[in-house]
Amino acid sequence: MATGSIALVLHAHLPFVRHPEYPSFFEESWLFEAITDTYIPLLRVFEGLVADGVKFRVTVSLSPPLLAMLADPFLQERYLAHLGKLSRLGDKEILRNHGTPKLTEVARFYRRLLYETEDWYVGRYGRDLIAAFARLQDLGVLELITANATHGFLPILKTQPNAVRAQLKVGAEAYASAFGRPPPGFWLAECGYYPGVEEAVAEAGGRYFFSDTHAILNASVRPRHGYLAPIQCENGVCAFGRDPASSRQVWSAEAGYPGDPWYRDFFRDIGFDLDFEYIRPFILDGQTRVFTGFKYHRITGASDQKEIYEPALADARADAHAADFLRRQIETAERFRPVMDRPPLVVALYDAELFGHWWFEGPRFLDLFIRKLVYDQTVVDLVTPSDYLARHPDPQRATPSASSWGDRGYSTFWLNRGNDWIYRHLHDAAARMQALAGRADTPVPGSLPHRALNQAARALLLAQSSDWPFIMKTGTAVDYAYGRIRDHLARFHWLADGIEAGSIDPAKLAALEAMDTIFPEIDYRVFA
Amino acid sequence: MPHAAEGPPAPEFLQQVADEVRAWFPRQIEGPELVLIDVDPRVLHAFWSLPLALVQDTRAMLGAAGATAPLVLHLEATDVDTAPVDEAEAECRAFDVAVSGLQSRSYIDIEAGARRWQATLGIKRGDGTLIAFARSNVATLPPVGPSPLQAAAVAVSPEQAAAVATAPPETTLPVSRPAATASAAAAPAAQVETAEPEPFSTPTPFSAPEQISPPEPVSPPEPVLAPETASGATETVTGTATEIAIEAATETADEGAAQPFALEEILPLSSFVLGRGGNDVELEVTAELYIHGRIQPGRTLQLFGKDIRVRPDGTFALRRILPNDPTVLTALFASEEASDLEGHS
Repeated sequence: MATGSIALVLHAHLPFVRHPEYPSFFEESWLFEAITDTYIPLLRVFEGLVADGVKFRVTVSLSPPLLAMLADPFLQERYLAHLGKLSRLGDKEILRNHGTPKLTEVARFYRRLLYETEDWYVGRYGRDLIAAFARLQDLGVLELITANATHGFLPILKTQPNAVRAQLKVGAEAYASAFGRPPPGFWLAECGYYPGVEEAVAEAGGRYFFSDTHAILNASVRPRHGYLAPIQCENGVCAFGRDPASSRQVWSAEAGYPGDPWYRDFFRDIGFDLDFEYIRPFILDGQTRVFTGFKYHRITGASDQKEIYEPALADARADAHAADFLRRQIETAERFRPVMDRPPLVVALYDAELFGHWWFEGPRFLDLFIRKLVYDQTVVDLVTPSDYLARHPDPQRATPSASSWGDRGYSTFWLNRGNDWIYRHLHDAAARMQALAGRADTPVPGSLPHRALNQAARALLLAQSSDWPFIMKTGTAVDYAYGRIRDHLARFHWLADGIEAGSIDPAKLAALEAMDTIFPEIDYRVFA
Repeated sequence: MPHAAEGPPAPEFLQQVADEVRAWFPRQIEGPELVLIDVDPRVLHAFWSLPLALVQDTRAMLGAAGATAPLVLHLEATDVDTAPVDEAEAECRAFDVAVSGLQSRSYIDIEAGARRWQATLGIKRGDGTLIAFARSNVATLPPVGPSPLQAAAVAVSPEQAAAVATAPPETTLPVSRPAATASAAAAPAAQVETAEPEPFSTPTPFSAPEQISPPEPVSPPEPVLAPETASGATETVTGTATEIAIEAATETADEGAAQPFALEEILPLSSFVLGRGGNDVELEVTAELYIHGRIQPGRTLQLFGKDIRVRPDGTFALRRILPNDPTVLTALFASEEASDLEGHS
């Protein structure tokens, strides 16, 4: 048995953004960029490892809104149109940079990537990325989990216990619908935990969840192994605490790998650097400057003077960083194994979109890290939470403390003067939904009232997404976030009024169903 | 399943419905209702809704005094297992906060060690009694540090027990107050320094909120363990990198009392020094100012250029991250009519 273990956990999530009411919609590009930059590159890494016979285990969390969007033919079609535009831009870029060999080389590099992306997306996967992930789970290399339904931040929703239970149950149902089995564990949105939420996790079939470091360290009983081993709540659900060192090595501004001068600079992009008329035909709505993915410079340093990006040299840096990351894990294992009655477990939690989207070389880093770990040493091994619990089924009993992985470690990021006005309305809507769900007169399935009740449940869940207060806090797309909260709550109350009055316009209901298609199999009674 | 219509509704119709339905927000929330939520280990958030008629009728019932009787949020600790340690602590376990608005919200700093709190919203009579409109749920604040409860003994081999002597001591450094970091949208911190100006930042909410960078231990990072011997007793061990670093810093400080430091040996109290290398000692000290005091009731107070909430009894309290540089605390006091201003530094 290895001296120590590493659980590599990638959480993939995007808010549900789908606007068939417009010919194109700027915020839909969030999904398109993530597919191109992160999801397909990660799948390619995993497929490559499988093809080479590398035995590895990685945990991937796919949130229900992301599952819904990846499975949506409407968004798949729009993604392909977007990809086609970028490929044409790639052709144009090669011509534009003709005469500057270094830039031409980078342009060719991107165009090849785009062609390969389309080939993988359409040719290999038939647009079905969920099936691609499922296959890797069936092969035994991925452990797929999911998050609560719309990524609602549970420590604030907890004043309405029915809303928390619905978030977990609907999340589990979305997972079961996609993968044909219950989720082994949950990613609680933003690692938001409060004592008691484990009951809803258990009700939804989950055996474990992740939390931030201090949730473990400040648990009801002092953790014998610190955050280097999971703890078990009274109901048997286990909590795995984030290892801060491995987070810092990837995230930190000062010490993190992605800041290496040889890595690609995210912010220098022709979407902002070139004349608007040149890029207008290739951007989503033809009006808003966006990142195109054509980035010719490396980070270089703090100044605005950037050197040309050289993929081969960046690859070498990824190799060095993978080796360093592995060395640190080995050090941790060797240092702490002697004082533990089980191998120390490093839980390395990341947003999946960090790899590839923000940190272009991230997928390559993961690829190299896994290969080195499997082939170059025997001190540490890769495990999933289920693997670790199977080996060590007797975690220490303790209840984690309330926490999140957000700024300051608690609820501040989602509850502050910039966004706190929403909670009164969410609270009110959840109470109203609970009343509707508890009514004795259960309508006939498929009837207008039944459809309206299910649509009301969808509207409420969408309003509860943690993404809206998060965006309000960051200040990046505040109007959009505000609009989404307002629209979903308005739709909820329109439906609730109609249900209570016994009068629902079928055409308008169909319109709402056509816009908010998430959770097609929902049963509104989950809120009862 | 959503209704499978014969064909998808036209985009124009979808827009029309979306626009029409939008009028259903906001919905009038009548109340009375009061909700209490924990924000962090020291702050509670309350929001409430009160019917206008209820408040008007109550004020009318109180006669002339009703017009000026304050609306207050009465906070009370409901912990039954933690007794106040002294009189001051007892005072902190039940107090009033003046509030306003039929539909409003407030943040309440909690100074007491009690973790479970409940609030009552009402109008305070002249005799100090409260006419209650709404009572909140019980909110539980997270603990401020590790539990005093130790785990049960764990069986380890003699070799493992001996090895405990080389393990790091228990420390709460990684959890006490995760370092606040500059918010730069969702970008990983590594990219922030190369960010383009604001108009160019994308609104993509791809990643988690600004990741907490827990206070950094010296390199290599030290997981926090509560090492235990075979008997279950926690041992204090010595000689770890953390301790050495702290000792070194202490020694430097002691020497500094006798003779001035060389400037390059003074480390700022900030995480900004971390990761740069070149220092023999790297410390992370997350410190904050806790300022509390009392002024004449009814006066307003500004500290750091911001209005500070003064409780009806004139007491106030605030917390602020300790600035990296020398700080002049400027306070501005104003009388009730704001006609009388005093500045203090």
